[in-house]
Amino acid sequence: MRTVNLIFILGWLLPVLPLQDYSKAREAMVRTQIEARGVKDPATLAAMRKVQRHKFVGPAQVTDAYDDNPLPIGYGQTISQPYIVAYMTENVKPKPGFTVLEIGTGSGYQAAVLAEIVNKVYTVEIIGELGKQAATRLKSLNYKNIEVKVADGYHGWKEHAPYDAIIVTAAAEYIPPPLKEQLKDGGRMIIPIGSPYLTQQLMLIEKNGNKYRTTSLIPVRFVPFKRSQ
Amino acid sequence: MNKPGFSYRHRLMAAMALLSIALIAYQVAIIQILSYVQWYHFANVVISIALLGFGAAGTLLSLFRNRLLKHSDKLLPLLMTGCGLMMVVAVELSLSSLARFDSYLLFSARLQWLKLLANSLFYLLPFLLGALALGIVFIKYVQEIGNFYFSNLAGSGIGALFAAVLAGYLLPASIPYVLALIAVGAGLLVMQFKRPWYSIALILLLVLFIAYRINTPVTTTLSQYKSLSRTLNLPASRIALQKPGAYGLVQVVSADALRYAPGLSLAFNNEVPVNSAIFNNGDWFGPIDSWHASDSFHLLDYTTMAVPFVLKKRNKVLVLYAGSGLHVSQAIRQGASEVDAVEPHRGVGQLLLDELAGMNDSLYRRPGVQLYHTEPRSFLSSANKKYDLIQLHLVGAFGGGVGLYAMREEYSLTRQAFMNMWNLLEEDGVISVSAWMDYPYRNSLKLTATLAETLDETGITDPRLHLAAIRSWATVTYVIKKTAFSAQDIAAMRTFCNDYFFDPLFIPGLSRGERTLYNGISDSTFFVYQDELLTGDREKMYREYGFHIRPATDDKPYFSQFLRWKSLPRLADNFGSQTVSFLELGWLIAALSFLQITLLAVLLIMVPLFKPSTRGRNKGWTLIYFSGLGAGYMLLEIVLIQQFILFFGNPVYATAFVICIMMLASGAGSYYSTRLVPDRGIMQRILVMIFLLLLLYTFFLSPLLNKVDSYPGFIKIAISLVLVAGPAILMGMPFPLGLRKQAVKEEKNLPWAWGINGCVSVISASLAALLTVEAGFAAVILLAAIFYGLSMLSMYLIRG
Repeated sequence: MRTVNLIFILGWLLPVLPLQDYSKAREAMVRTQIEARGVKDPATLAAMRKVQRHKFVGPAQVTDAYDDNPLPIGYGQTISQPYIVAYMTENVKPKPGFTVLEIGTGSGYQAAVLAEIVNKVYTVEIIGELGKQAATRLKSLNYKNIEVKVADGYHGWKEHAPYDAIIVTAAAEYIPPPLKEQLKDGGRMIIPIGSPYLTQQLMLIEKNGNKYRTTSLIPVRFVPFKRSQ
Repeated sequence: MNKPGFSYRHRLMAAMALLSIALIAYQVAIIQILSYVQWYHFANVVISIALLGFGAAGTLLSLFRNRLLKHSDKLLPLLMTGCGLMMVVAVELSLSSLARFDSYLLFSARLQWLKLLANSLFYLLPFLLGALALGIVFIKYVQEIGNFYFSNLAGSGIGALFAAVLAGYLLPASIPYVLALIAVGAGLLVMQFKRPWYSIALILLLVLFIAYRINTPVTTTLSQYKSLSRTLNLPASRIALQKPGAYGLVQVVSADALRYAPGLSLAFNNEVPVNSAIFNNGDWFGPIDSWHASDSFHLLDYTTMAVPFVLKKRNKVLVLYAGSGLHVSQAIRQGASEVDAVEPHRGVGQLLLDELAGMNDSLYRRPGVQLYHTEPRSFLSSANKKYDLIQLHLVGAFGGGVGLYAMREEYSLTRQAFMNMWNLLEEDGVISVSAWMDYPYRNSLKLTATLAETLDETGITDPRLHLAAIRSWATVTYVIKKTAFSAQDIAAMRTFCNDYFFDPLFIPGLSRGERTLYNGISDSTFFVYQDELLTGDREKMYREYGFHIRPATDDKPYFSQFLRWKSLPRLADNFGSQTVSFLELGWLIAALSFLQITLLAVLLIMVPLFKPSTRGRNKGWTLIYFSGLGAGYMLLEIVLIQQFILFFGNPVYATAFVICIMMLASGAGSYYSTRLVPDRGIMQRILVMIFLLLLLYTFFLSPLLNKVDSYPGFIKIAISLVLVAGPAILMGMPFPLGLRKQAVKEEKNLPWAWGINGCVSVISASLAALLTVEAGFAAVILLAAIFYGLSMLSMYLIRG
């Protein structure tokens, strides 16, 4: 009987034990997945070190939270690979006084990372359940400078515009005209291109008066693929 | 050997035919269901394992031959009704929340592999029981195998047609239940009514449940990653309309936040309209163009796809894969007077003509607009009109996709297709084709190569004067023109680029800095590769580039197949192993599926060899002869289906036609074989005839089909009948003759021989799909000929 009890207790304890190592896992994530791939912005790195990613995923994904992968969060959505979050953050060049708009709250992780750096983050989620979950989560983690709204991200969040930067976390086949209107002159918008598991390409949009310039960024250490060796 | 009584024999033949109808149609139905809840490729993985039920039945028969044959009269009705019961149980279990798998999570959650395996095993059961019933009959009545094999093949042929007919009337989830009824009916036909009440009561219960399920189908929950699921997550989304059809389940979804504007220019400042959208088998088919004749703008005019209209007004326009009509309405908006729209999906076309006509201002009913339901290549072959513009669909998927279409024939993107289009152009006409920008670069490079080779073939010496391409942040649109671009054309394209923040990729007289004025690219090798393909050493690029970018041809019409095996390690280094899985998913799944089936099949074939009582002479002959027949037959069947898609202009009809005619003709051959003596000389002569016929097909089938492609429909059907039935009649003879020969030489080998044939058939179906992509149709037909040749030569191994 004692043996059975022991097995039972161990069975409950085992999944909890790795909790002690999350800060180490986070540090390792920043070092091996983010810094090693060239992200240098100190504010971004500090934010990635601070935000507890394992609190933004479901119980089944907790042990994988710091892996070098995107993870499913339900409703066909994912929490992006840590490196992508860091790369997107770095590329909007966030500063302490900034007001940032995020389209696609998802788990709320990207908003939390931004909130560690900028003044205010407004984030819009179209899927009601995800939006509510993220709002509750961010509140419980004491993020006071993030506001979550459940709405169609196409329209942005006009009341708080213009924004210094806009991050669109869900891939879009077009750039909604209201978003570029809500971007400050000289502001930067970043959008991923590709399926959730294939986020290889990020698009940077820079506003200069009435003109826009896009740059397709490649967030992986890519060796030109022509085989010449 | 038992000889059944007259009436029983006929009932047994009828039951065999019914069971075969149910089994073939069930296979099609399961592929439909799994394609809907998951993707076609995973449906294939599940079904190919399930079909190994035939091989497993052979193994069981080998191991327990005497016991199974001794109780065959009781077992046959049990197995047939059991097969029907399992058809129901497998569907119920597979779609239950407990066993439902999500293929998108396979590479990130190990549990999904277990669920995939469980699904395969569920579906294996009906095939195993059904095949066991067929096998027992074949072995027990081997001297009359010709007749029973005829029943089996004729039933299979009818089953293929029946599946297509059922798909037109019932929801996918209801169809297996109808087929289960047929299998139960087969069981009832051969039931010995000694103590009927128990059996009848049980069967009645089953029938009642099946009837309930046909009326109230089991819930089908789609993968959360399918585009339909994601769209249904949008606020106020609903399925407004759904219609089953031979092409799949068509569903129309409306949602408040559903907008479609592919690669829209950043100069666009209007509201992007809300659309409804069409989904086919849960996959995105296209938006329903919410266009109205009085609209002040057309969305596509703010994309690179407007280039052909920037050059000149186009009066006569041909739109291939017109879908829900976005390019058609654009052409009308741009002043076209005649628009021919070709859309092979009859179900969608009909909806747009009728129920959905109100949504796009009856676009397809407008004067000057003509909708054709045929495969674009068939239309191109039979068209006798010249066009100012031939517009193709947008190639690839946003962001590059996950390679799910790698195994799909795309006859409208082959070199020959572009030549056909070129020949239909007016003197000043253009062909326009667009692609999503992807990374790593694939689609646009293959398009450049294809268009460059097309221009070469037309005799144009400097392709730079006839090819232009405009790039946005998301798409690139190519235009090839019969006459060289004029200074006016070039100026118009430059103005277009400046107005809409696009960049020229190719225009005559292009300066280097012009290419990235508005849309920069971090990896600028894109331009180096593009230039090399257009004017540099194209062959070297084909050889050295990490992906397969040589243009598709009619013999290898797989435009979206980019994977090169030798590049896999480097891809994994660059992108990470998990990403690579998604980069070329379609091809990898097919390869994985082939490997696992081969492994399982080899095991099934080998198991009986370890049982002493099954050991006997002529194992070598049995293995080679029946493997050769299984492989040769299946390879030819798959290639004929693929080749006749182009010929018939419709994949569903082509598949149903080829399977049905092949099976019926082979059934006739099998029936005729009862008059022949299973003598080595006769068997070898038949096999040599098949070998020679297939050798002829290797070299002349494609050219012949191309030659007669533009003939009237009834002549095409007559020619098709001869081409399919000709070899099939002969191919129906060696199997029953072989089993009869086996019965004389080493009867113990009979079940093993039948099992080998089943296993190798399944392996070959999987192999054929891979081989046609890599080596082309002709090579696969040649391989089929070689397999028949091997079977012929194996006859020399017969001892005793």
